[in-house]
Amino acid sequence: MIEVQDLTKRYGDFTAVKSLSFTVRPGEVLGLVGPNGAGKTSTLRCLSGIIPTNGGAVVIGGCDLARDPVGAKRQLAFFPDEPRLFDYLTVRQHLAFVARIYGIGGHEAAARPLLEEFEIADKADSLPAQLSRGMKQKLVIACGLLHSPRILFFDEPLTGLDPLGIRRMKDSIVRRAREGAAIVLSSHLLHLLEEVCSHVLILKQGEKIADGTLAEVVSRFSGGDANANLEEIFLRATGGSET
Amino acid sequence: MIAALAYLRLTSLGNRVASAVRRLREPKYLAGALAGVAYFYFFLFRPMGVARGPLLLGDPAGALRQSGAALAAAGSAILLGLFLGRQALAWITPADNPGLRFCEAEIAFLFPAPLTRRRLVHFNLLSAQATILLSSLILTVLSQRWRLLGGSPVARAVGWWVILSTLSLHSTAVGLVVARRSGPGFARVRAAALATIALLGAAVAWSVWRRAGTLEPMGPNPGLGALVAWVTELLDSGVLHWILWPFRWTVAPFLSADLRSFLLALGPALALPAALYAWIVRTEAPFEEGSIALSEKRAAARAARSSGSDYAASGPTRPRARREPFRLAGTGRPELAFLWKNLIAIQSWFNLRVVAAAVAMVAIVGAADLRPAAGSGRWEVIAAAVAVGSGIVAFYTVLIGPQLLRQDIRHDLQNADILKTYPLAGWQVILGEMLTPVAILSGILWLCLLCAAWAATRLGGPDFLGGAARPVVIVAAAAVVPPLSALQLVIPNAAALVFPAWFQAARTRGGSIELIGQRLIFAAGQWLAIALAVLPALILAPSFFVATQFWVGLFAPDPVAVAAAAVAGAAAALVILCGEVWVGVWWLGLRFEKLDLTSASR
Repeated sequence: MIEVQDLTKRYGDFTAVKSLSFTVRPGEVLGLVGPNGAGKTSTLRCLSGIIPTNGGAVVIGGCDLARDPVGAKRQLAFFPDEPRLFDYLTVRQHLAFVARIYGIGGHEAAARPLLEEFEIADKADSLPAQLSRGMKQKLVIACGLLHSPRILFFDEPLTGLDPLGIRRMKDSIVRRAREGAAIVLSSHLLHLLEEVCSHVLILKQGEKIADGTLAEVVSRFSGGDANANLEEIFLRATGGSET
Repeated sequence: MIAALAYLRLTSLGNRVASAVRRLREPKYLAGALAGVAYFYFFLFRPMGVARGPLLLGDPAGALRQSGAALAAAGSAILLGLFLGRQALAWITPADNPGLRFCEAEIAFLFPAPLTRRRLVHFNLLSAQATILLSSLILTVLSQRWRLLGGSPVARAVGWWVILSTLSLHSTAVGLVVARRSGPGFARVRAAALATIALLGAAVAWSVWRRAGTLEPMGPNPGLGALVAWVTELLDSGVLHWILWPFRWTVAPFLSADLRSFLLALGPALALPAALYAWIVRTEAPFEEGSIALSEKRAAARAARSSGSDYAASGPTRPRARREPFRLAGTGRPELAFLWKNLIAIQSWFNLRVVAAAVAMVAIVGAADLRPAAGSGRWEVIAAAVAVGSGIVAFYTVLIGPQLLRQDIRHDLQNADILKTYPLAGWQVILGEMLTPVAILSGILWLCLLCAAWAATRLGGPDFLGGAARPVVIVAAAAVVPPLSALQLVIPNAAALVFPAWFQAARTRGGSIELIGQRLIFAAGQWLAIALAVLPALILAPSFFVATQFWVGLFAPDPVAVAAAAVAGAAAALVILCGEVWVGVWWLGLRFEKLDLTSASR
């Protein structure tokens, strides 16, 4: 479970996230939506302990991220939009390294199905330079899932994936939510959010404009239009421009 | 088109200067610029102002008389060597040179534009002139110190321009011809070109060999005048005289002593570049694909550098998977995972070949530095060479090792986002990251100690280092090595974490004056901090050494007293160094946990 209370993030004089509060329960998938510069990535990076917050509290699976960052991080996985890999480790070595960091004994058994699920088993001895961007993205996801996290943060998870990869990724997210994971993902692909998210949070200039289940947010901004989709709702809620 | 090019270049230059000036509002750039200006002033330009008289030694008058001819011969020989070498390289490995190089923006805007290919060629040649003019200016300023040459700065500037333009045009011409490699008959052209180069090379070698045999040999310590005369005569005889003739024309304006000779030299000097220009314009080469491929490769390399990667994915040398240094189990101290990972990474350049080359180089330097006394035994000479070599290696390892071995958080700073999601305390990440350079530096220094110990055994030494004293002293010194290396590494890692924006600027390739200044400040700061950190151990360890000797043997030159004092001194140093390292790693861990690269880059 993810509990966020009054989360604030500032860069100098600029406030990227203002007093943001929300909760994601096991089995829920929360979609973070907003124009460029709305604070989506900053929020995700604060939630996963990558950057320090300037105020508020974040509780990950019962662990306060500020007081017990190691305990909180044991339960989460963060997937950045740009796959960051170690230049000189092969696919298999990446998994071995991550296994040692998380203390996973016999990690080969856990890694094999992940490699097969993401179709990179035949690239196990390849270096990142020999992988396409989509494959790198898949490797990052395989590494993140190796320790079976209960809380997942995805920043633009479909960037660089081919159509089949997109389909598999969506299925994977939905399946893990069904298995009890709490998931937060940010994306500009609103149709993806409509397909996989149970909840939506719309951000603009670092502030929450709306949140709730898809149906609740749609009904709030639809203006009586029963056929309004998330794209129309998003444009109405945010004005559709960059912040 | 010239108007468009002038607009592009001048506007770009103006914007670049304006942007650099705006950046000076930030203290870090201002400080860097001041340090950079001071560096250039004190180390490059100021010495020129105080230079007195010609820089020749020995017989200046005689040397001056001969210098013009000697420089012309030497300069033309260098140019010939560059021409032949470049030609040979281009024909032997005709791979990546498209002839004409365009940047990505130029490709995007100019290739689809309604311009003829010849106009594109002219655009490229004129663009190259911007760099050539700037380089000529810088070289003119730098070559002002060559008082021997005489002549005016204007003549020298034009001389540099002629030389650099000729080299640039030659490079373009060769590239364009080689770019036709996919065309019909290329194999024949290539074979003919290589045969011509080989023939020319053979003619030069034969001429030099034949003439050298007939020249009067120089004495064991020839004066500069004699050396100059010998080289001049060698290069000005036989076939070589005629082969070098066009290149003599090229360097003549640069070497002209007065206005008249300069004006006379200018006409012939332009003959070679004019011929190369005509060659380029008449060459119908498919440079577009090559230019695009090269531009993409350079963009990928630039992107890889800016993201902290060691290589571009599309670069010419793709890395291969490396052997694991040891098997990494899934459970155990997580810090060892960083050691494992970084040892794999470091194999890309720190491998047996590099170590063997370094050892060979050191052995040569060590042997060259030896002046064995008459009657020395062979083993003594070898031992002395080993001692000198290991001393050199140890000195440079301590001096620059921590700066060169960056396989720690400095190398992984671009992956900080990922590292911070790991369930590890900050100090664990820092400690794990530092293990690899500590292990390598310690290994090198231990090897040096071993070599020194062996050499000392062979060469003998004072009595108080006999018996058990020597191994004890060596072990005591070896024990201090790892914490000393770790402490040395704490400082540059701290610099990376405390000033990430500065660190990023310092590791960026580029030659702007503020970046050069930033690097200088960075290096000076690191050295000062290391000196201060080592100071307590440097004070306390000798104190303990002396106190123990006094207590054990009243300064008696006794092996037992020396051994006891060495242990006490090393123990004192160990306590201090380990304490400092622990505090440093713990504090760096806290800094790492609070690190926000996003803020630093804003």
